Amino acid sequence: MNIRLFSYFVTLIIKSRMEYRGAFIIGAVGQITGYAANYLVIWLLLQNFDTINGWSWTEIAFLYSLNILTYAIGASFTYTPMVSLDQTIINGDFDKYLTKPLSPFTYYLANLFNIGYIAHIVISLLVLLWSITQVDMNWTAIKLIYLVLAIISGSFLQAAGLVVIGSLSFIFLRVRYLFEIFFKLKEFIAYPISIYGTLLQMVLTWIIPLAMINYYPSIYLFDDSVLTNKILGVVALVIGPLGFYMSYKLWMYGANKYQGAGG
Amino acid sequence: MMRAYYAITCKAFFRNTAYRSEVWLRIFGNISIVFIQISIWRALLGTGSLNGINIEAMITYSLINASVSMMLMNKVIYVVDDKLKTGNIISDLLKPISYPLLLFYDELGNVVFQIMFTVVPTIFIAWLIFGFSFPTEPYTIVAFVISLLIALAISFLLGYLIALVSFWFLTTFALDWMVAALITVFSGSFLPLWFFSAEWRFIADMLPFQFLGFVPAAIYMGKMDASEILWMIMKGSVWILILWLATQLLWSRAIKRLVVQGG
Amino acid sequence: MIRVEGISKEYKQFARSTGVIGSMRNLFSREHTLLKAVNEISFSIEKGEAVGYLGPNGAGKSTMIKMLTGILVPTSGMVTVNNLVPHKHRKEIAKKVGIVFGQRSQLWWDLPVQDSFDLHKRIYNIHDTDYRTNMNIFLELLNLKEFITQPVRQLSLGQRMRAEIGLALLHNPDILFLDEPTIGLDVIAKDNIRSFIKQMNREHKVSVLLTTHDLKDIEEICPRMLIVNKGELIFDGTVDQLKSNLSPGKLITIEFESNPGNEVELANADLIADHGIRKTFKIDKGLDSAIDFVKRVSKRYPIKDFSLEDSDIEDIIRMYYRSLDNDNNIGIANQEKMSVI
Repeated sequence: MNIRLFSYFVTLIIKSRMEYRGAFIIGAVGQITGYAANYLVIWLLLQNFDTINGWSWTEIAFLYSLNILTYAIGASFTYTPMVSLDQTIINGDFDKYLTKPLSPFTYYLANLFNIGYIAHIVISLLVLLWSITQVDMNWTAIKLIYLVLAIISGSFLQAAGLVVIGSLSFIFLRVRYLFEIFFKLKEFIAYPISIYGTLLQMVLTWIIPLAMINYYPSIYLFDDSVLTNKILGVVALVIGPLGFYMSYKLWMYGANKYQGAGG
Repeated sequence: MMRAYYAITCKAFFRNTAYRSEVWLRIFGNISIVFIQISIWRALLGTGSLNGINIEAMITYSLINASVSMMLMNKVIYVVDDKLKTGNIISDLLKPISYPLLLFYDELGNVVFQIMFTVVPTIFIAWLIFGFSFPTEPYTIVAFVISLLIALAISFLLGYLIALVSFWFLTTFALDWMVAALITVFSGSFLPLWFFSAEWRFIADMLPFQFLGFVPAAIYMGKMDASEILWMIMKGSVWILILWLATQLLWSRAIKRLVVQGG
Repeated sequence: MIRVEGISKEYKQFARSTGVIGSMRNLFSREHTLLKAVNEISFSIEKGEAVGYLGPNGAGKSTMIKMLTGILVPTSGMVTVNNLVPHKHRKEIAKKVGIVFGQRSQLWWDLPVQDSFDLHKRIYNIHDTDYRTNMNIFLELLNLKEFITQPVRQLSLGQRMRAEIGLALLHNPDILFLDEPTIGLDVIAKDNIRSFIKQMNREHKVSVLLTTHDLKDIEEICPRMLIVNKGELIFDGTVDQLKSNLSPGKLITIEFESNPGNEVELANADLIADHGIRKTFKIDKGLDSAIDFVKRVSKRYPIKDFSLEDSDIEDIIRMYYRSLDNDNNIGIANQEKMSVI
């Protein structure tokens, strides 16, 4: 599937959603309120304490926004298809994705693209841009390019997490609770991971590398004089696309198994 | 009549047992959240204290709040929503039992299940890991139980109220997000109201959300004296009355509309 | 065009418990039963044929279509469509076949019908001129012009099915697979759909393979039919052959000039109803023997009139299935007898 076809799917999806414009707008307002509340709580907290482990309010806002923004981008493509995959298989609706001259993976993602994350993207991007102007550091062209790449890589990594769990639908009957675990785990990176013990930091860096989404890009941007920050900052750019490719392979493996083992 | 309600609660309880294999995952999720909060407070407070609150107090506070949040009934919004969408609500109206009470006892079955299979194990495990203090005064325990009942009633009425409002807006999830946002900030479940600045504390005091987290935890921890507790119980009861009247009003309107539409 | 040789499809049915932990337990327990959805079936379909694929629920009809379109991989046996193995060349096959699943929509629920067609034009890379030609055919023959600008959610079931079939034929497929295309439709809508499919088959030489519960679909569209039961092919032939081969008998009612009494007894005929001068006989064989029978009777007793009743084809097949259920051995024996391959 090429980008033009994918964007045609997106056009149709937007058109469909606009049939229920009122619900869409109320939904967007609801989401923005929800995230605003999360920002507000952290802000209130830092009114008392100034910093969490040396991270100021604006730095935390940057870290937090990077997480939400990359999640919203990744989830636009993968959340709805992956969360509904188990039901799609059980209902027998998955067959339809194997009847077109398209890769079932991209066809499935395109068909269930979710435009509803636009509200997440708007609020997190606004706070991110605001925090960039406030954070105490020198922005250079290289750092801005790095930030763009980090957002892309982080989005891939968030999507990869959802795709991996979705792929398990082909093997297990229901995976809804694994998604809940995933979201609980993601709570760990809402704050700088330096507040946790070494073991947990290692886990979040190398085993379930969620810290690559926002923590390592942030510390690289805030302080690139430390060598390990540089190295991990670069790793963070690579791990997203790589993780997504691996999750894609796993998904295709699952889809093949579906074709062989039946639905 | 009592027997009928008891039967409803039992039925809801046993409906939950079908999902008991997922209980472990839920406990894991809760422990994670408590762990994250404790890590943050450890980073913030270290070995010191602020406004007389030290890390031990915050551990107890976080755990109580995590436990109370599992018992809240505001998710009743989705039960009503489904029934409105499918039209099943009509069959409930024909029963000789009050519809909101039927919902309440149904939810109570869920809550009892949550307490037995999620709250108690979570507290036990958290107690092993983090340590946890128990109240010494018997009247504290009595007051705490009363505050829990108030939390149940207010959360139920809030959820039910929103469900009735959504009868006109036809989108439940956005309204639920907004209420969840208010709960996030003003229940004090993450940031206790002690740490709110004067004007934010004023707003929180004017709203019913503090009863869904902060009030039970503060009573449990002995941070309120007898007169404060009495005042809070009175205030909570008034909120229950206000919310109940509001639901009655909306309910009669909704019924009129249903009758006019002919179901 | 389609070659199927000794194809089988087995499903492993695990004694599953639900939930993630239950599923993990299932991972380690290997207890399962094998379910043969399709068992050693062979047939072939030539270009331009229209074939009905008939069988009760759970006979493996959908499974067969899924194997022919590359959705599922057969457990054993050979299948080729246009000389390609479907699951290995799924995308090429997808360009050559059109599929309609009666109970699953390809249409976009909230959008005008036109949008779904535009999307398919892009998915299949259909040339503008081909697209226009086909759309003109569908607008007229399927009467899409009546509702092409309406959102799908506002269409009747019959209109929706017309749009589904148009969509499946938009890219000029050589073969059209239809899985229960008339299910749930009213009589008029069924007629419309049948005559359109017939026309596409006869005039545009699109091969058709359709599964159905409704024998009318097959009688109207398909000169040839395949009947399956419990995963096995039990009949392959024309509708007429089925009637004469499977027909448990014909009923002949004869009106005599005068009552010949009870002693009218002839070989191969049972008296099953006696109303004096009007008697009904049941004979075993086909049409020729029925005429012979009447001739023989009329030689001995003057007759006024006679009428010939065909058993309803649905009754025949229903009876046939029942006999298979009652006694599997007899079923297999019958199957040998019935094959008209």
